[in-house]
Amino acid sequence: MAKWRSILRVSATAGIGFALIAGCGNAANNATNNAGGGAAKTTSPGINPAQVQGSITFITHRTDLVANGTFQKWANQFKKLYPKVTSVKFQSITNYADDVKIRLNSGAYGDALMIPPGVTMQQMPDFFEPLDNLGLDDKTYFGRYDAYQGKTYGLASGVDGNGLVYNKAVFKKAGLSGPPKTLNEFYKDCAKFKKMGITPIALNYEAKWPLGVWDQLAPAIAKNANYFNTLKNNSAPFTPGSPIAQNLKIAYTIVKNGWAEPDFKVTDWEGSKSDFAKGKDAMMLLGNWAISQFESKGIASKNVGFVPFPYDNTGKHMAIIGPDYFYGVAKNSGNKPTAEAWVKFMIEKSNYANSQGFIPTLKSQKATLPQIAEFEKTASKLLQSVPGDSTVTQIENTAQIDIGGGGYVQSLLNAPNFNQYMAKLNQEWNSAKQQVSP
Amino acid sequence: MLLSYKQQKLIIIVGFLIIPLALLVTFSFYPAVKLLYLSFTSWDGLSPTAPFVGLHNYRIIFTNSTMWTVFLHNFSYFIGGIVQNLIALFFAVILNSAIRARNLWRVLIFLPYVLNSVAISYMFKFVFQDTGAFNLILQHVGLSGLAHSWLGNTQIVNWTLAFVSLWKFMGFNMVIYLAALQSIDNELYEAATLDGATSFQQFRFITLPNVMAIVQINMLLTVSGALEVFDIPFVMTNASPDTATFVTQTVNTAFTFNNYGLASAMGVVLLIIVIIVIGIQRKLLGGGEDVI
Repeated sequence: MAKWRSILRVSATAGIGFALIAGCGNAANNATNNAGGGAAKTTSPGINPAQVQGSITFITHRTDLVANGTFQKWANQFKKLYPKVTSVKFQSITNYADDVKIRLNSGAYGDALMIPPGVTMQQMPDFFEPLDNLGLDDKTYFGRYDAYQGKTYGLASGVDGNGLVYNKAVFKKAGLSGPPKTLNEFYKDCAKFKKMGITPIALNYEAKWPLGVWDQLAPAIAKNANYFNTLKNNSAPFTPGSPIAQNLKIAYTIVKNGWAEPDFKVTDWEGSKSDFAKGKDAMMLLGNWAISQFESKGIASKNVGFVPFPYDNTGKHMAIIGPDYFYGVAKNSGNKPTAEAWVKFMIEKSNYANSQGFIPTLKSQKATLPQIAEFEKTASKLLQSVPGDSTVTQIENTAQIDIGGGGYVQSLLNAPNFNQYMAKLNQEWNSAKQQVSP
Repeated sequence: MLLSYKQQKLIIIVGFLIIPLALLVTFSFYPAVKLLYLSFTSWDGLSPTAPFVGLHNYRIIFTNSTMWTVFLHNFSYFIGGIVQNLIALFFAVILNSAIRARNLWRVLIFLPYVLNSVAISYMFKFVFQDTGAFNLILQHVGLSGLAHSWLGNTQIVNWTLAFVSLWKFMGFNMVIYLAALQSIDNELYEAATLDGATSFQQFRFITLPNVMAIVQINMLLTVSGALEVFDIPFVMTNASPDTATFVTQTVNTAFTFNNYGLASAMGVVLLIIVIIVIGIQRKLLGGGEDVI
């Protein structure tokens, strides 16, 4: 879904100052190279090394990695693989999603770049080159996610899991043996933390995008990865008791009982990260990408845990994994073979995914972030998110209900009555649905 | 080739005007015309074509009540603007008389206007946080009972933001009033003092009538500023539902919801509203000379 990705967009750009585990990263990189069973110079189908030459421009949202030279290190690795390449130039943009969309209009958007959210599948062929000849479609997670009419236009740069990040030390202090396994246990833990004077769960209302997670568990609750796309036929999706309403009810309950930060409307993201690292917050509902950001604020890795959120009382919960930004090759690039080789290199050989705390896109690579093992073990099933239906996106835009964006959740948390607000959302959804597909 | 005086004059005028006019047309007129055009389409920002939808966007704006409830938030800035004008006039009158270091005071009051708006908003965001400088100062002087959640409390937050706007623009208003006051002939005041008028009477019968046209201009700026405020709520509170204004909603509509057609229509509607409000204001505050 486009909105899922927009969270990750802003999350990644908001995370300045990642702790780069360059050393470990390289070791893991070499290990997977050898495990892959191929020498570094294996020719891939469709990439002719003789054509990989010259220079390309790569546009990325990771201003921090360009500034601290990490991308240059990967560029040097790339040049060793393909000696005819003269240079890889990097452009990093802070307000990536919005600014790059404008550049797409202008026709000058580099050779390789991250695909911004908001580009519909029908628009993909207008702006990006098909990437099927890289041979990665079936070897990667979400290989067919950015596909249109049988061709893939984007390959994920990393995979995120959505789940509860918790402070193990704080849990121990409260005398709890582990993270909550049912929804009732979660509520009980919240009450306990509040009595101890610790913020049970930080919401980050002010930044808006962190609230976007509070409807993303709906596919797991509905046991249907395609849940959001079915909403195009649903004229009252927010009826209390429906999967998305159940999900939102949890956030509403947290605020009603005062289990969020005391000044939850005002705390900013950076301050909130520090609060979590210092032990003032017990939990946050985010993704594995946030873990390295917390560690860079001073919390030890062994004190950070990551489990799927217990959205009901069955004791077994699915976890949703979704793609982070996609790599794309510009349709009007002057050096397509090199740009494609760069994308392939970033996915297969660079340690981008692991060093940033993602699950690697390549299925054969193992995630090195220790918390991911805990996450995968606790989840009853990993549900892969599916591409968003453009009709649903249109209804969302017309009703201005940004599922996954967090804006309408802000209004929900202000509302005095949950059921009344759900009825209002139903009304807006229905009238937008009539407008979009009468 | 000998050019006549008239021809030379023409060439010089055209030569000087051509660059500014070109910039004006490119960056002001063309976008305005394009905006009007886009308001009749449903462009999503990326497609090469913009499908024509006639008055559909305008119909949405006028039938959707959520578009208009945000004007309640703009109202706080309007009231703040009126207070701002009163305070500016007060300071202008005081700093127009002969007091010590009056140039220093004038500079200090005007300085906020020179500062970058985003920087000011960012700074005040930290000042008004629950654990920020303002509450800390209140605690230190023993007024901790007055400490509130300036940005968190739904009732107060818009007034907090209106205060930031007041802080920034009061100096600008004051400078304009100062200029107007200095254009009033001093002999009028001397004559009035000789005749025994109190300073309040002098203010009411000499200062105010002469300054009325300038008050009108400042009110025009205040009203249009209040209707168009964007940067303060956007930076300080990320334009949350408590503090959203019409322009932040417009920006949201365009960039978050990919609805450039509707956002353009909102822009045009805002222009119409400003024209109507200014028209009403001119009728109420009386004609005065056409200073604009």
